Amino acid sequence: MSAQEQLLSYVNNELLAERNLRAEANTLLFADGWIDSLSILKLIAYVELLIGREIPDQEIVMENFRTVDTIAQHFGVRP
Amino acid sequence: MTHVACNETSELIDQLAGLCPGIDSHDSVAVQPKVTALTAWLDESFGKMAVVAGAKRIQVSDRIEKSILEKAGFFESFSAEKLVDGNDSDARTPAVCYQCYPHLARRELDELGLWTCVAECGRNEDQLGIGRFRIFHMREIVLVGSGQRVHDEREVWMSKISRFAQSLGLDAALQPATDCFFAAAETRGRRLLQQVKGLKFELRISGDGPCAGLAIASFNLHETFFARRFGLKLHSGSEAYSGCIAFGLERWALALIQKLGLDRACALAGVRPT
Repeated sequence: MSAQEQLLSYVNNELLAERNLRAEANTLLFADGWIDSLSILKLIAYVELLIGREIPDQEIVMENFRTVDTIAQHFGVRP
Repeated sequence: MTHVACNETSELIDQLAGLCPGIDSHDSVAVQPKVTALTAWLDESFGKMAVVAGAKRIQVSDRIEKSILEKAGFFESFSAEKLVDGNDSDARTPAVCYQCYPHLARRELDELGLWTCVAECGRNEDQLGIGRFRIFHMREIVLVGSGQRVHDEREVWMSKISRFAQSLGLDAALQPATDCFFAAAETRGRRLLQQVKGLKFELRISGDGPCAGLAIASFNLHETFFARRFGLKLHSGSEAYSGCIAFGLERWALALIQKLGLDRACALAGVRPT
């Protein structure tokens, strides 16, 4: 499984599982409350784990976090 | 007729005296009426803009019942010590829009509605500095409707108020807010969620002058946060979204006087020098 697939799997199995929601790589993660304040911290921590560095707060903006695809592209998560 | 009037012991004049040559905090008899008139003119300008855009005026009190603040989730985000002049049942209102939501409950709301009100607010600020006042006037425009319409209306106001500031000679820029609207700054998750979603923007004074970084207006989206708590529903039956545009009137006056000087700033407002 590629790192990008791992990220999508994490989103679906860890962050969205309880809500019975399923995201695709291009699903808007912050529409309609899919990601809440706890989930965003888990998501950031998982992306940091995948890329091996801390993400500064200034980089945590919609442009970089819109979808799993955008996260992967911006932070260099391997496809 | 506007509600705005400065207190005798104005925190604003004290700050101006520290920033502007020629303004003496001991000479408040001469300065006070001009500053009061300028602040009132600013309030009228924002109020008129709101009414032209279709806003209904709501009269609100300077004091708010603590039960309303409780319902609005204020104490989940801020300490009770933030409140000014509090007693067992009420306190000076820390922001104006909290007063609007109870008015809008149990009504069927349109896809977009605007309301506007002003009050003399109070906050015990953690930090001291330019533009931080314990007592201050805030004009707000409250937006309630569908998510998309509230979002789009906020964009309109961000442009409109940026142009207004520019027309007054203020150098100011829109920036995502770094403080948290719903929760204390230490709750990182909520702060970052707000940042990602662009829920709060502020119009801040640019440059490197003494007012640099001062936020003179904020443009906030609350999603369904207040609608859920106050039971705000659209005609369609769906939950309403809300947002608000807030103007710190003394901050606008401070920035204008610091930039233009007292007499030029007052000339803008049609206040004659004495």
